[in-house]
Amino acid sequence: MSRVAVENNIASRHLQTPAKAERSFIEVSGLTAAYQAKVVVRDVSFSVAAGEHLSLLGPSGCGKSTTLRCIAGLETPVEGEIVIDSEVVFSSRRRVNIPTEKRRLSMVFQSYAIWPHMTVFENVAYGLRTQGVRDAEVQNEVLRALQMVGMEEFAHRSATALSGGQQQRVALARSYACRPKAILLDEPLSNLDARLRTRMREEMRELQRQFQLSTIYVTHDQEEAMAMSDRVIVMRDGRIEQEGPPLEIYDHPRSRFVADFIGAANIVSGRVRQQGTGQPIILDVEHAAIECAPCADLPRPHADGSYTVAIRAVYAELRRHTDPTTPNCWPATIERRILLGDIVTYVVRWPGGKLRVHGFPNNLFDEGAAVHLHVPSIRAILVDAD
Amino acid sequence: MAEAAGGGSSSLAWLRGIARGVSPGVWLPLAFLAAGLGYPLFLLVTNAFNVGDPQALLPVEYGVANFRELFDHLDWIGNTLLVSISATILATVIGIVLAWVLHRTTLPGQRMFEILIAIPYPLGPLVGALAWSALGSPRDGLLNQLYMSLTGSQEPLINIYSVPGIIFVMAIFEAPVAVLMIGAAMQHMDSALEESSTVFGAGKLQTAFRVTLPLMLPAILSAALFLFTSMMGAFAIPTMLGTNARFYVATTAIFVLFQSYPPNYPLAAAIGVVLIVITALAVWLYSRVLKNRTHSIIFGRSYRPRRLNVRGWGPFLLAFECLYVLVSLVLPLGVLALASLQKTGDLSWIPTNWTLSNFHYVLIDFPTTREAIGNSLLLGVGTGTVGIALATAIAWTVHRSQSSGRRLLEQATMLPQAFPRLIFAFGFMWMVMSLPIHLYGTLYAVLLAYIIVFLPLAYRGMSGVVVQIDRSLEEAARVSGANWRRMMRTVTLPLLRAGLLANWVLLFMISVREVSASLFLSGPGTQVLGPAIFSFWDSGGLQRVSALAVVQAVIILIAVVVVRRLAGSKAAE
Amino acid sequence: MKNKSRDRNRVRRSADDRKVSLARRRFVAAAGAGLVTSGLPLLMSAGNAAAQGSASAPPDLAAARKEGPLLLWHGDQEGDIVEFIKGFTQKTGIEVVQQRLLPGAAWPKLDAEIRTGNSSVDVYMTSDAGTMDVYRKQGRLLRYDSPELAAYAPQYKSDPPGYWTTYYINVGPMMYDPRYVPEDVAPKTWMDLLDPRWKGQIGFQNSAAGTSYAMWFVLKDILPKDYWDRLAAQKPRGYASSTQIMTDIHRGDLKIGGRVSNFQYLKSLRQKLPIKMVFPPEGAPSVTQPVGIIGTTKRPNAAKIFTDYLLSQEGQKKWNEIQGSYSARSDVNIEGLPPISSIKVLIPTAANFADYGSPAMHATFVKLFNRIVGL
Repeated sequence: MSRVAVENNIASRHLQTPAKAERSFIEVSGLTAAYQAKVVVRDVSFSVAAGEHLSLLGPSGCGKSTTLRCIAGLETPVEGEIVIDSEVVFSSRRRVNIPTEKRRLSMVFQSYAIWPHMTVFENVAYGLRTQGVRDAEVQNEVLRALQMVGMEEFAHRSATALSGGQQQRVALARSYACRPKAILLDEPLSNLDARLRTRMREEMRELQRQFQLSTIYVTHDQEEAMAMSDRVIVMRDGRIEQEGPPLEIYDHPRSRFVADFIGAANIVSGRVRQQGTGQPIILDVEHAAIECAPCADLPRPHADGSYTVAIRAVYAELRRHTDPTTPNCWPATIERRILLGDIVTYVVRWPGGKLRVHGFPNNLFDEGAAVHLHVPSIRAILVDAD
Repeated sequence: MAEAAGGGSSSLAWLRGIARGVSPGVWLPLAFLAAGLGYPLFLLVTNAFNVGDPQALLPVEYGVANFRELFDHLDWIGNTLLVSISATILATVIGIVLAWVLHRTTLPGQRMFEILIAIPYPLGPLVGALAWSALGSPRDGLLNQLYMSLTGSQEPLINIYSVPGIIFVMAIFEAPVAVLMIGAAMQHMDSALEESSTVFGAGKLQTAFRVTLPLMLPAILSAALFLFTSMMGAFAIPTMLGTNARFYVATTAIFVLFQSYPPNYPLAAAIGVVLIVITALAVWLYSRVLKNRTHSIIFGRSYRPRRLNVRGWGPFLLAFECLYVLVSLVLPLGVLALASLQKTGDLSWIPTNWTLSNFHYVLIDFPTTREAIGNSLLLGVGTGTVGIALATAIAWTVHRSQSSGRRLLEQATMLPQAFPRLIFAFGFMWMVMSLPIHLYGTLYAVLLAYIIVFLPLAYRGMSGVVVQIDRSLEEAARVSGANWRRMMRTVTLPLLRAGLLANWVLLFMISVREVSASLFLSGPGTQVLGPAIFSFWDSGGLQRVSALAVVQAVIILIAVVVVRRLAGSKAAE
Repeated sequence: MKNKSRDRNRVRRSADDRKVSLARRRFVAAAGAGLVTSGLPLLMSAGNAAAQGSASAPPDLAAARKEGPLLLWHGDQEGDIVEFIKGFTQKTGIEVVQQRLLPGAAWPKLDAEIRTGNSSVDVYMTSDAGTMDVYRKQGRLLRYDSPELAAYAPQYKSDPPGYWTTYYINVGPMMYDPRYVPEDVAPKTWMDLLDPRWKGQIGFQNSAAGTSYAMWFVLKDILPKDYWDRLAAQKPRGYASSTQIMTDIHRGDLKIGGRVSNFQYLKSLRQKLPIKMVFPPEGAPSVTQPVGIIGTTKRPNAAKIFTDYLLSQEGQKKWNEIQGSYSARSDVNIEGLPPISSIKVLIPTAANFADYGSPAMHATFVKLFNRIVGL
């Protein structure tokens, strides 16, 4: 995972979003949804500020798509409340359920859902026409939207003649053209190849910032979520695991799941050595002891009483020489070196077992070389075990 | 109609949506089917147990005497099973081979063959039986005459008035259905499955038998079941080719029992009930066998499986295709065309002996046939329109709505195929006669019967079309602000259009060629083609019947051409 | 309307009785007991029957034309009827619609239609005079004393006359095509049919045909009791119509038509096909084909005019020439047919007419004949 991308996102953000916005634009509380007698979303609550880009991130089956579809009105939750722009669109308690077509949202589907029997123009114009906008204005809006995505020459072509990437752009144009209250996207980039994906990601981020539209973005690709979002919600088994700005989730995962899901992390288990207060927490792992980052309370342990620490591969360092007094420094051997192009992955044997370390191609270590492994203690994060 | 999430803003709609209640889209068709299917069935069953006055519509005395009497005539049931099973097997085998050649080989001209092979089905078994009796009757049949003059033999080559003859004619005229159903599955198979077989060393034939065929099994069984249930109710072919050979099946026995005075309705009803039980058993067996297999190997993206180069086998396969087209299309239409031009029942090749007077008679002079042609066209349009509308509504409810009871609705919709058509028709006739409204003797009664009888076919077709439309296309419309009606109008219906048209034409053709379902229901003022040809055969000469059959064939062919033209103008998805 | 001389059959509790009591109920206009659906329609048709007018009232041509198309049911060759009707319509301006129904299909249909008040048939022409007479007894026929009745001998009319009259005599010889059956080996008598050389090569109309029923009815008391079992052993074939028998005979697929309606003879000759008739010395089973007006007719004038025409000398000549059959009128002779006086014609007589019409007798025949033709 490219730390570079994360840093790009931080650097280009001009909004510091607080943990919870003062006035949230979309408010979801206590959402519970089921599909064929199986509960897929359990008591999910979160909010989206005006103009914020929120990603729902998680593996397949975690309930992120269902949550999005509940907000869109395409699924009916069993329980909960959804408020959009101060309007209650769904409330199980108050028995309110505003139909999809009245919620004034836009949605980009995974399959783009471009209507094959209409032209590109008509596809984009659809939302405007349902609002009863006059022809002349429709013309303007549609062309503007198409220009925005660079598809204006295709305006009068049949929608069946488009490639995947082109369809995706048209879907985007369609979702912006009708001036919705918010935009929902359901894994819109998963059908594109890697290069196109990266490019589209940036274009979409740019559009979102331009229009300042509240956006909820569902994806299973953590790189996408990190690169595009103001805030990320990691979901698992229908519940929210952790929520926060991308860097916070990256640097301070609260559970093994989140640590593992975002970026490349080494998960190590060991026994906590009893220390006095004010003393750093030491984890005994096989033949090594790791000094961990301080935390107010110990996280949840395994059933057998061992604790889990997460060490990001990018934060572990390999040195040829070392200062023996530095904490968290051990002699190690390079077992394998895998060159991935922009980064190099090393599988390192150290007294605590095996560790993956990311490095750069300009400073290569050979397989079999004896090195020193160093992990800054603030980067050894104690996390909840599963 | 969709009770999907977000339907209606009133609290009533809320309750419906949340409680997953039964929408009108489910209980309306169910009620219709219960009435139109259930009541005739009820009448049939009660009459099967009637041991009192045979003419009473609602019996007062019950017993099993009719079934005991049926026991003496088990050969009727046995013969029915014999021809049905044999013809099903033959038709399915032909279907598999033809479907494979059409869709999986690199042989030339397959598009043309696809059209030619599809034509015999709408032409119908009546036309087929007529033609083959002119081709294969022992002394006089065209083929036998040719054979005997060429070889000087005294013995004919074939006698079509025999059990093998009946099986043969039934099979070749029902085979196109098998080709269509199996072909559809073959077209959507993932070729990676076959390719990996060849990578691991299996030759083409081995792959065909060990990979392709087993994967096709659900489609093959589905086609075989459809064929079997159709053949159980087959009437035209066994009548025209069997009764002269003292070979009776259940339907022809019922027909004679009906025509004799006093008609033995209870015995006929008992036969009907037995047939329904057998067919229902077959349907149940089929669903058990397929329970653990995935039903469709049709994937979301359209896979165009690669075609195989069959090299040395090419000429044999092409010959097989040509042979099929010959026996099912060229020879029958040829002999009928020839016969329709004759002055007498003898077939003469000399053009000076030819005349168009038969056509004049059939189209202009004879009021019954004129009326029958008109009525059949009307009925065709009616059946197509109402049938497709109903089938589409049901398909949409089953596949798109959230209402409960959808599975039940689907099963009820496919139920009519368990009723041999002739049996259903006479139960239906009783129902119609007993209703207080003036339905009996009108064309509406026939229309209603046709709609019910052909609903499974229409539903099968429209279901396939509805399922193929990506749900997100409709959801995108709703998110873009379209309410249900607008979504239907601007997105769903336009996308359905090609499928709607194709299935409409199929229903049209099938209703024009139908005989069994309308035999008891049509009468003076409501004559239709099938029964008219049949009664013409009863009392007219070969030349006139052939002329009428040719007229029916021409109508069907025009319909085929029209649909090809319309389907061709839209690009296939 | 009820004839006391037929009383002896009323003692038996049979379906016959139930029908009679149904008719009685109808005319007393009792409320709809029994079958649920027959209540009101029965009342209505009872009212209708009463309004038919007197039996001898001469028909009004102008009124007839307005009554609309006359609905005619028959069991003859459709083409022949259509041609005959054309002449009738040309002469009188009354439209006629025809429907071909074998008696087996027609009677129950008529029954059901009358029962549900749906009947629309006006004139019925059939090959089963016995059942026609049953209908007369049930009061289902309209009595019309046509002026033409005088030309018919009593055995060709109903008793009392006016209910039904014979519109042609259907004589049933054996037939064969001399191209396939040499004249010297062809059967000459009914017993000849039992010769094993004809096994599988004899054809009859099936049990639905009135002519087949009549054949058995008149022959059963003349031929030996075991005749029918021995005939069954010959495996004869059952056909839906005499035309089909002829088709197979001329094709060479069938050697002997066991009993074929004699009008087929002229039809074959007109098509230039060779055909031979055999009138066995035991007798040629024949039927008197009756025509009658259905009591619930809504077009009495048209029906009466049609009956007049059919039974007139002009009509009889026309009809029998078209069809090629014998007229019951002594003043009508058809060319090409041997004179009827030279044939031993066997028809059910007044003595056994009640038996002839009984459904129980019909049922016995159906069972037997189905077995004979392999059903």
